[in-house]
Amino acid sequence: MTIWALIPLITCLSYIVLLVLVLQSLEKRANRVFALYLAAMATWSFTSFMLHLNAFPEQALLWNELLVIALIWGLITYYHFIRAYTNRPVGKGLYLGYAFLSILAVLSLSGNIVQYSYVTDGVLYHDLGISIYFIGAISLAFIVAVIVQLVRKYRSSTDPIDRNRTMYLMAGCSVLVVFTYTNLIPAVAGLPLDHIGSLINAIIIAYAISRFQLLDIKLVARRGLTYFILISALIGISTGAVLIGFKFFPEAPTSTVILFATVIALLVVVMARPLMYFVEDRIDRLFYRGTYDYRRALLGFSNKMGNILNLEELAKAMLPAMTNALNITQAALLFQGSADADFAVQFAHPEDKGNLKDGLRFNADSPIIAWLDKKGRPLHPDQIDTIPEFKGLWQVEKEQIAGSALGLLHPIKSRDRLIGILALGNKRSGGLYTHEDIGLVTSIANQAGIIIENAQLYTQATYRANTDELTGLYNHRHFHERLEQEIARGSRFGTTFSLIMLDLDLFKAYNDIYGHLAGDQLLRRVGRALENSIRSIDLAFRYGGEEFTAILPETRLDDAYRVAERIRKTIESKTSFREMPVTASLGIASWPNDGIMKEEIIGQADAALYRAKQTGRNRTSLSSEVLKPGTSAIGAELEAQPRALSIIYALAATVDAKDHYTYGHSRKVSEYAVALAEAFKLPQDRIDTIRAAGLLHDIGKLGIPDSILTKPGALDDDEWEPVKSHPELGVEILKRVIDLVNCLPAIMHHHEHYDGSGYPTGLKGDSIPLEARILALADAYDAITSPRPYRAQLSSEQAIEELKRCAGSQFDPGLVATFCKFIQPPPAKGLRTEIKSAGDSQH
Amino acid sequence: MSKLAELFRQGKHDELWQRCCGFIDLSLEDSMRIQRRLLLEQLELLKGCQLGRRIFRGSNPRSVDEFRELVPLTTYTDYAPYLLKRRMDVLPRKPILWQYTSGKSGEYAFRWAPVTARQLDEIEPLVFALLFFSSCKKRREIVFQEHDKILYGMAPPPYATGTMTRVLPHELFNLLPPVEEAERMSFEDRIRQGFELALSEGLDLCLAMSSVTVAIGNRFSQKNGKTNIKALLKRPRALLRLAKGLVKSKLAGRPLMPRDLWPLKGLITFGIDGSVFREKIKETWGRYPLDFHGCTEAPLIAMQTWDYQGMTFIPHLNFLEFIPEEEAIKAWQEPSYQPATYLLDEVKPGNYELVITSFHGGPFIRYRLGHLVKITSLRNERLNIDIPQMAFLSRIDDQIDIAGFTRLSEKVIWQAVENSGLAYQDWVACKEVKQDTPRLHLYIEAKQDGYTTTEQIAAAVHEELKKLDAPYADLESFTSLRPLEVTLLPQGAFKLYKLKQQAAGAELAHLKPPHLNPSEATIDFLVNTAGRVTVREEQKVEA
Repeated sequence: MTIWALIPLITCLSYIVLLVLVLQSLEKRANRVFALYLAAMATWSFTSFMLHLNAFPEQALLWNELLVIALIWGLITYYHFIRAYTNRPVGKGLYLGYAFLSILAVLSLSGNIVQYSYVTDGVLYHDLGISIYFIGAISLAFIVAVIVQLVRKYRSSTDPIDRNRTMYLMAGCSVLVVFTYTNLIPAVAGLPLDHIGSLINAIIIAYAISRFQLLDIKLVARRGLTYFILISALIGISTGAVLIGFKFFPEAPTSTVILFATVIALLVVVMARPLMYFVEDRIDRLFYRGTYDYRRALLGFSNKMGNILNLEELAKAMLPAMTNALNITQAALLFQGSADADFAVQFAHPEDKGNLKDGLRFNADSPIIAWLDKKGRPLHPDQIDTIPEFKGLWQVEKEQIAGSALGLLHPIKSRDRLIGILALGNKRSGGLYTHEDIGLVTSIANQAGIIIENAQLYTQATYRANTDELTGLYNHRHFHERLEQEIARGSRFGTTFSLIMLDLDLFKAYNDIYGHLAGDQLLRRVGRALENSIRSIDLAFRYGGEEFTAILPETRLDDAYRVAERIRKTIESKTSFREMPVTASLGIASWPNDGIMKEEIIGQADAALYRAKQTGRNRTSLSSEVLKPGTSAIGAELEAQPRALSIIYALAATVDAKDHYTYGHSRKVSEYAVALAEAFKLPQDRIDTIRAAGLLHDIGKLGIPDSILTKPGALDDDEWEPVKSHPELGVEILKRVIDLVNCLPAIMHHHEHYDGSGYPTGLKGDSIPLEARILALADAYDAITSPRPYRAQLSSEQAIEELKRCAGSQFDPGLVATFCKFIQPPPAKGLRTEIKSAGDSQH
Repeated sequence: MSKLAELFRQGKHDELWQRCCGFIDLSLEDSMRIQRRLLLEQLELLKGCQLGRRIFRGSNPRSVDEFRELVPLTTYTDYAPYLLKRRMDVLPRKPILWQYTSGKSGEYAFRWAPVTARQLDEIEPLVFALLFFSSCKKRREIVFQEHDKILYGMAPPPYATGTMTRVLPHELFNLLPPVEEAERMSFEDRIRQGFELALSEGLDLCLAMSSVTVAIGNRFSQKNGKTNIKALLKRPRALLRLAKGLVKSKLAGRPLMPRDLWPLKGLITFGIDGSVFREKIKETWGRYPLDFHGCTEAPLIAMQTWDYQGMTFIPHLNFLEFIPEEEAIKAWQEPSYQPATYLLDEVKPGNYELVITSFHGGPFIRYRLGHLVKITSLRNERLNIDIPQMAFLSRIDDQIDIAGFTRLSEKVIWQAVENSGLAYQDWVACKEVKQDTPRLHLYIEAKQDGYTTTEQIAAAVHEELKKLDAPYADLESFTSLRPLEVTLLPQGAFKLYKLKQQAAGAELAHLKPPHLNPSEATIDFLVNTAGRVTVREEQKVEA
């Protein structure tokens, strides 16, 4: 035996290992045929081993004949395997191949191919005669057919992993062919170099199976393959070292050669990793050329981006690098605006060209989103017609994807949740994404996931800190920040800006009438109206309560006036007919004309707002219109007052005229109520409101049939219903009279009881407006001290007793105590307790 | 060439399977997501067209629940004013073709239904799926190859089965006869020529009406290999195939059957009788027929898979609703009654009427197909398919009610006639009331060699009906009523009827009388006129 016999032996063993692994998974046609190929290759190596072993020199001819048969068997089965691998039917070529193999077997075994054969010093000497040319030519035809089919398969495939498998098959096949044809070189003919090629092919196939699932074999077998590759490589290196040792030091003792081989093998093991990196680096530079540096930069992405808390910064760092590294037309990041919102492109590079930015948007319930979230894998647009879950896509959605020049979608996940999508355009070269490209994108997407989540959390936190929860507008704190920034910007660049302050008219009354929930809804509506009425560069804020502001950058006063009027009209137009009118007063100031400092400009806008309020509300005032106090604004106020009172008296007279029993009741209730309000030292405007409310508290009775109002006896249940509705009816009647809007809460709730048992809304305690509680007391006192057809009139003392009895249940006990004090002699100024006649509102 | 044809040609079987058959791997949840999403797309299309607005009657459904709540159930009468005139302007999407089926007697001769380009795009992979399911033994197994031979025995366009055949990529397969020739021939000539071609060239897939499949098998067994050898001498390949077949049949000790001539890769049949003749087809052709459910208004609703058991619903062609049988009957009797419906994920095993809403721009909205189906199971455990399985029972509006005890469908009567072992040509049945007693009257034509008496036939069919339909059996045990009456029709009655219809220029669908409740004139013709005229038997198919 010579050392050359070791090579075919190792190769044979390698193929046997592969065969054993593949035999475990024979369900697929490709696997079955591949097993045949491996068997043929193992046989070929074995015959070669037996030849080189030269144990029985007289059998050399037989082994050589078998070797020729096994070689062609291997070739034909490889061709068969490639047809199965490319999903092609058996075909005539294969039948011809097997026929050729059969003929060859007969001819060879009958001694018509190999003329003679012997091995000397590990070198095979044989003569195949003229048949070698036929065998060579036919073999070449099959080799060409194999290469053509592999190239076709590679070109038609769009799956990067599939392309890689085909690449490895092509590489293995090429190595095998090149080494096999070394037999034609006289200098090395006869040495088993072809088996070195065969061994390399076996290792490549094993690698392709374990790494890219070249064959669908069991996981355990794949793991086994990985170890097999490692062991084969080590054995190969050691054997190579021993061979080299014997070749160059033929005189050296065997122990020295083995020691030398061991040292070489150890060195290789130690150097393996650095060497691998070096080789990989060289190969990468060779293949990736211009994009290499970008790829390197991207791979270190997370180290540099760790501190980024801003999505824009992240996109700026990530997208251009990715576009260059992958040599693609465009890259974009898609995020959701809110939990149920669409995934839309928020950042793209380059921004000015490409269709991703305009054409790509995924609905939150899109099957693509669900798939990316569930699978966490990249998605190629071609897969959209393949994956059954996407049957639910709308036609327009499919057309949108088709029109967006999309090359790849990659999910960005953090803590198992889809937080963004990386959308990549097509390759500039027109090629397909390779396995390495996808590996790179996956690596970046994984690194970006946590950064993006942090940035999103930070953005959300910042947003919350600057946002008013009720209206969704910026809040008071952010208003001051932005105003300072705007002043700084104006100072630096010499620009101007305007400030609008807005206050809802009579919001308190609205709140009192419709409740706080309705008030909140109104504020939301106003917030939306404000936002919709300004430009995208303008900023809207909720200043506090029912006050809003808007900063209009680079806007002069007259332009700001137009914006303010638009806001005012929008708010006015949004009022529902079912409720009281909602209007707003606005004041405008301009920087720097109305002041340099923040406080000055706010003060000026506020003063303009005050003037708008004073001059009748629902209007816009400019800072330049603000006059000195006490001039025309006050004049306007005075002018407005008599007009309001005249309306009130006319309406009160209408109610009193409806029922002669109630004649004078409204006036007296008004007087009692005003007296009580004064006793509590309420501000003058509230006293005025109470006065008017007292006069008008029963205005709703205009809508009650006379038959009920003038009924001499007690009312039955059906009759009570319209009577109970008179407070709401009163509000309905008066709500459009702006001057009387302040009275509405008192009118609405003057029949509420302190313990919550009243009507119309069942308010209790201090949640009943004070004006209404005062009015309730005054109303009751006048009713019980006045004559009615169905009951006797009470004296002042009896009435006071009755009020005290009902304190805490019907009336506010604090008010009753005060009222009783001044109603007893000496009577309060302007009050007369001897009431001749009074109407009863306490039906 | 379509993308699917390209994948087929390139041998990309995994991708092809995924595209065509992938729907069977959907979970029920995924299927419902597809149903809901595509319904919302369809609602948008319907809101923008005249037909949709008319059916919606001013409502504006924005969700599946609102759709079921606000939109009424419909029948063909709601569409007839538009579809009979083939008006494209009122439809949600412009159709690419129209197809029809026989209509309602006295009202319209045909029911026309449009098909949109996208519907056709969705049907193509499903036709491939039928092919694959008919031939595979496990998932992802595709045994068909380019240039395989297919016997084209479906009704031609504009029938719906013709549309389906048309979407099959003709360049990939050898259709026998080629489609362009086939569609110019009469149906019978086509079958004859296809069969002759198959004798010479071989046959890999039989794609035919179930009645055609059965008829071919019957002719073989009747002829038992006796054929015109002289004619076959000119076609050596056919002769060789026949010789091989004869040897096989002799070795098996039975008459020559199609299975001896062609080792089929797949067999797809269409028709209500597919399940009735299932075993017979298996015996003569060597494999079970793959059945699918569809109609003109909804070409594909469900299909069997490779276990040939229940049919799996297709979730992406129509929105599916189900009305329980009792409710459905009530609603047919009282048209104003709007029964509640169940969705695919709400049904339980039992009988339901199918209600469909077309996807992809089709016109039908909550359309009552009148098809009574049985939900056989909620999933196919054996093949791990998570979508409910169905079997077609009958048309709900075309059943014979006997004394309120039972409603006999065409399929049950047919199965009973078949199981009784009678050699018959064809049959019709109707309900008659004699002396205030409801009776099922069966008119049957026996084959020439099937001599028997009406009493024997009645007894045999009655026994089979009792086995097949428990309420029918109860009828006898509770009331001692034997409601079956049989009239033996004269020889050639059905052939004569067909000749009469052909002479009158009737379409394919009208060449045979309906099995259930034919008109009195038809019965009169079959019983009386046919008795006076003799029809000579023609030999159509050479074998």
